Amino acid sequence: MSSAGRSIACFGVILLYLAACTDEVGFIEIRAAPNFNFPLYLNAEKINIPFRNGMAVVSQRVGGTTLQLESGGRFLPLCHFEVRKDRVVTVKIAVQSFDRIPRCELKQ
Amino acid sequence: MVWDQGGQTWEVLVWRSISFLPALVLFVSVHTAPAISAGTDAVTPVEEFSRQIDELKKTFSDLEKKIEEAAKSIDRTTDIESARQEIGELRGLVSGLLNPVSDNGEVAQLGVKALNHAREKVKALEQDTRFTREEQQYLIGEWRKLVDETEQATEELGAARSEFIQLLRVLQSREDFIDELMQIRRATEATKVIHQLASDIRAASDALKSLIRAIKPPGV
Repeated sequence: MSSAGRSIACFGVILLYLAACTDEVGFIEIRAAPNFNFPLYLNAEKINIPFRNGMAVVSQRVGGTTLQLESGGRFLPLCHFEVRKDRVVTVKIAVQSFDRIPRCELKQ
Repeated sequence: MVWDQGGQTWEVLVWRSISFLPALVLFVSVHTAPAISAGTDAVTPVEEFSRQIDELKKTFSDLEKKIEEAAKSIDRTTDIESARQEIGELRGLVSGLLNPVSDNGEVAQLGVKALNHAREKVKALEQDTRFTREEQQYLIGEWRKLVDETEQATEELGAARSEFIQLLRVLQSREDFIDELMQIRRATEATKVIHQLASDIRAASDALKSLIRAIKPPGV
């Protein structure tokens, strides 16, 4: 690799490093039925927080986010949405009797 | 050639900086780890939670003025673009307050930890045989009081969190509406929305003030 090429590669590494350190966050308000107790994941990260009255508010790094549910060791993606800087997105998890898989309703 | 030498020097510096990073991380963790573990040994989670709530209340008091100034400025403005900028900055302020009290935020997580700690302490004291009956009852009573106060503070933080979320939602939906109005060149309607927003912000700020002031750190 030429010297200039390596310089560009270095610069790319620094940019990636800085991007990983970004503290830009948005918020996700998750609403579910009060007795909802499936393990939920935002991307690959488990939401380890108590739902009070079926509601939780989590901060999340900006960018594309997938809400997943774990059932029987399998991940079921419920919905994908964009978390934007200093904004809130509400995700309502609805379970209908004729449909065993919960569904997402998004309010951006 | 001169550029190449300059490029190489720069490149060497960059690589040195990058290779220095793990060493720096190791140095910081080695030198701060004993201090951190000593801190958690010395300060119970309830005290730490109480201290964080105090800090949060101070932070909010500092920001109260900024929110009021932003509301005044939004109310006065006739320039849509600067109003939008103000709304964006206000969202940043609210976001900064919401971040530590969101359920995965530092203060909220500490609240959960404090509550678990206090409840476990009650359980442990109930099994403890080192003390007389009166001493045991006194200690259990004090810890139960801390459990109640911590629960209360956690609930009040939850109410503040809902208010922050509500305010953030108002700001973003009004900002989006103003944006849509401007896309169809409805500046007069946009100005009306801006003025209405200013009074909404004042109302939300008043509600937040009373909520934040009502939060009583446990053990105080």
